[in-house]
Amino acid sequence: VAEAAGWQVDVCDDDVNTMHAVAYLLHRVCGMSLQDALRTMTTTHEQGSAEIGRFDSQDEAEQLAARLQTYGLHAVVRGNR
Amino acid sequence: VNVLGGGTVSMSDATATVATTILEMLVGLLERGEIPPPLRRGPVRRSPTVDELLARMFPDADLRRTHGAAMRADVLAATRRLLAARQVGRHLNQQDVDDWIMVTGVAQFLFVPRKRGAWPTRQRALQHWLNVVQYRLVVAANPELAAEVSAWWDAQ
Repeated sequence: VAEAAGWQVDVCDDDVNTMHAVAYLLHRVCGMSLQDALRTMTTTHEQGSAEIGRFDSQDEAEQLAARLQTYGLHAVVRGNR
Repeated sequence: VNVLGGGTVSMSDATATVATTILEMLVGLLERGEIPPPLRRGPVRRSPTVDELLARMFPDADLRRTHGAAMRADVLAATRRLLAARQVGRHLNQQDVDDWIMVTGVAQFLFVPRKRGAWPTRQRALQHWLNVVQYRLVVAANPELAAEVSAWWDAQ
């Protein structure tokens, strides 16, 4: 099974950020609906990470990950080319 | 810090002193490469380096290389805005809330790493204090979201 092409941004769980902060930032910075933010926060908490976006452009993916890191979240870019 | 509905923030003198001290520590690290005083240790246990603190805050090495300067500049600008505008009982606009949430989110890593370990009590207390400030800001900024998260947590 081929992985989807593009640049994926994930947010990773940590022991510092609160669930309230993670959900708020997914809603505010990533533009997720409240329910999507809550669902993504839950996946991050339970599985250690969750996908929050996929981009054709590496730079776009990095911009989002960097933006989230300025708020203290552990966001990473994963490339599938 | 007491954030009331509508986004007014009021701080006791003691709280304002703690907030100012932490914001100045963040400026010192990001602008001048200074290790915050609570992290300076004696000859037995070494202090974290500036690079180690920056790696806690911005944990992806590739992103630090390509976007590190911009990330540090964004956090520094937000911190400077808060230091310049700080006053008791001030109404917060959305920019203020964003700045506070950014700065409290990053400043936690002055005191503790991302993964729980043998966190020194005093540093853990400062990180927890920042957590509480940030939580109250989220509640004030988006009470509906905060209530949903709390309900989810209560159901676990």
